[in-house]
Amino acid sequence: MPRDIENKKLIEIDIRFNPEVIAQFFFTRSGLWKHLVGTALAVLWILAGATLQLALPNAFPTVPLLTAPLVTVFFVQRRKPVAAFVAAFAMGIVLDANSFNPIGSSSLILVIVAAASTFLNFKLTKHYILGTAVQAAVATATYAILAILLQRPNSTWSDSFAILIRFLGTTPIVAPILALIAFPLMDLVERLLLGKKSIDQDNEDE
Amino acid sequence: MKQRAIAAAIAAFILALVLSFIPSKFTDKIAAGTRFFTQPAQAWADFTGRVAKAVLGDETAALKPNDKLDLQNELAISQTALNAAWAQYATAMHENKFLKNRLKLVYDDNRFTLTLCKIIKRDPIASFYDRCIINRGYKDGLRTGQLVLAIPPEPENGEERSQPSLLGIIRDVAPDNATVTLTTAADFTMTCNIPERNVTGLLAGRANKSDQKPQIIIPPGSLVLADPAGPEHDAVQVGDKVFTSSLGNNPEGIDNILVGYVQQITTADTGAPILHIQQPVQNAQVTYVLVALKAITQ
Repeated sequence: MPRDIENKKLIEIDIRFNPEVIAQFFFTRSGLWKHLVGTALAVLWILAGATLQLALPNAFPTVPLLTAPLVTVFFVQRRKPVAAFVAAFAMGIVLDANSFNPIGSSSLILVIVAAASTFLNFKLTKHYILGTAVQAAVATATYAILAILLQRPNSTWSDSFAILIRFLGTTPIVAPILALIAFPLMDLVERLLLGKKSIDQDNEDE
Repeated sequence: MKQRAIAAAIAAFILALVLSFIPSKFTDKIAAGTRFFTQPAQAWADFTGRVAKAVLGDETAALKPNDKLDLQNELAISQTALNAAWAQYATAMHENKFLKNRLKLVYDDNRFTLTLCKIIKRDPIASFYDRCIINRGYKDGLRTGQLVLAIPPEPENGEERSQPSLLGIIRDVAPDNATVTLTTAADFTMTCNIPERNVTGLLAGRANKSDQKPQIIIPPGSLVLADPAGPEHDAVQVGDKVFTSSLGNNPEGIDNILVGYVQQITTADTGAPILHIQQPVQNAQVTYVLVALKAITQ
């Protein structure tokens, strides 16, 4: 055996602990807290979007209050694309489970809504108010059209068409107003819990 | 970033498509588990909807905010206690009669028990006025053809409480839930009569589809009693009460249940009168309903 490798070990593993990094991960807002609270907030928005869409039409049957597409738009604007699609998928499962629809139909619809919203988000990044209003209106209208096509029961085409006209007539007004009120409130909650610095850092990373 | 978005979109779309084709025995378990874990969120959302409606409604507009909240709290507690007591009473009565008469299968057409049920699903978009699902089913004694009634509103100024009125009919029954076709559905039909005029006719949810224009104004209009027959069919007046009359073609049907009041009388092209019936309770805001189960005679 050559002399220069006689004293060397076959495998060497070097483990080092960096106390300052560990302290930052566990005890600062940009560490574990950010990931846990961020995940909890995401779950909260998903549950709120799905359950409010099931409950609000009972209280306000004539107003098209579709919160699931709006929460999808919120995720598209504020999170990474993968997170937005996962959120849309999960909201669809909650909607289908609680409304006794076949599992997967609402997920399919919300994934398509998320895709349309992501496309618009790339085009309207610099215009916050206009972008939010357009995305909210398009997302809600897309959801209504696909819901009537894919989840329509045994009603006639004229009835479905009339319902569609009603939704397309009121959605461009109601959805942007709801989004422009709800999104800043949701942002405020996230900034209070996660900290402005942590959110700005995420935006810089993207 | 765009490539990642496209990849995520394609992956999510394929996953959702695959989920749609999974056999129902697996998806039923997923659905049941999801319903179990999201029940608190659903209850919170229902509460939020009720509070939002109460806050934006005008019934308590003259009250101060604290008085409104106190009244809402008292009303919620009272309604919960009343509904719980009513459900216990109705269930106990039904079980008592069933156990006493289980060997005898003859129904009494004039007596029935009421079971309190909650509407657990109502499509917000396409079929809001056509169908809904209630939280009781075959295991609770519900059967296809049984009548679903609306709880009468609270009487005002010391008036007598009105009787429950017809809201729909059970079309399909599962072990734990049942599908109700509402009276405002396009395919709803039922024979009815006006006792004080000795007139019978066929009640329909909407007018004949061939002359029906697309429904743009919500909610749907009044019910229609077409081709009334009887010696006094020309003597029907606005305000006459309309009741159910099964004529023996629905074994679970119960007669003399209030449907509504004659609101308007028009004439068809053939010259026959068409009676427009106004229901006492609008089904858009209904959360709890009663199902009428026929009593079994001793």
